[in-house]
Amino acid sequence: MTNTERPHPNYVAVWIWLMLLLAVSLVAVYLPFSQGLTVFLILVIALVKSVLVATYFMHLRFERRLILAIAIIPVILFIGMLLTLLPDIVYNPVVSVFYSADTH
Amino acid sequence: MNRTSITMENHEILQGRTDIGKIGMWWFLASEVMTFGGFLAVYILYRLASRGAWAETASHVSVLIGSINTVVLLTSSLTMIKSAEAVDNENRNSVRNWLGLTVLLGILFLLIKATEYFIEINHGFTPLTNPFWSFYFALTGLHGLHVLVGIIVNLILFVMACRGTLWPNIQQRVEFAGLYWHFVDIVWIFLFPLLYFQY
Repeated sequence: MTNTERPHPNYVAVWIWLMLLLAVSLVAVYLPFSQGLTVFLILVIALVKSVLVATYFMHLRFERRLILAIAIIPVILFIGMLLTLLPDIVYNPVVSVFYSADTH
Repeated sequence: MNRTSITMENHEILQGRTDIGKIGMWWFLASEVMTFGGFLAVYILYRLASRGAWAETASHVSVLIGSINTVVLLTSSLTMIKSAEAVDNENRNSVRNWLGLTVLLGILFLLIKATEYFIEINHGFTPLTNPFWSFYFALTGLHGLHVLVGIIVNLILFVMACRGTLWPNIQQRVEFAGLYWHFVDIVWIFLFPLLYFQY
């Protein structure tokens, strides 16, 4: 059974946007921001690119709500886990001293 | 019941069957988000906790090679979705060609990654060197294994497309393989800046 009612957006246009965002993220890294702000910017740009791929290449834009829920809830859990562990791992003055790298 | 309404019912039944497979694939991808998400969250937290101490050792990854790999994988996502579009347009040669391109780009990604590993290990950076490199090899290695699985699936679909045996159930198979492949691409979209950029 073929599904001829499925809409096909302009995939090449999406690909061009992805390339542009890649270029933007490469530039943004060389700007003199703090470590936390750089990580935040990296994650925001990565999120935008992922949303583009998910919405258009994975057709999430045209799918029903159940599939949207299955796709989005784990992402929310991931962000929640990150934020929840931040005080314990990053802002813990006693423990964080063990996480520095020894370089050879 | 007239003929039109029977056809409509059949269409809805088939539509329902398609949706169950799609839900199953998305469910699997959701579990993969938890796998990579957990791994990535720990890496991000430890790197932030190092207060920039990892930046020096992390500077030995090549942003250039990583960027090239990103372009390769993003383009392979485009070729994958073009093959799905060709399925809907019932263009059999197009489906085969786009699938073939996707497989080639996937193999190129892994070859570039292997070269990268070779260079880094030769410079003395192994998974045991320090926590950053443990994370780097583990994260890119796990991702690379996912890419390999995707290549194998796409290769099977490509061979089926060449032989013409793909067509009875084609739409679902290419679509679901595409969902997996796009997900692997999304994981790399996060891995690349988090591992390769200086912060």
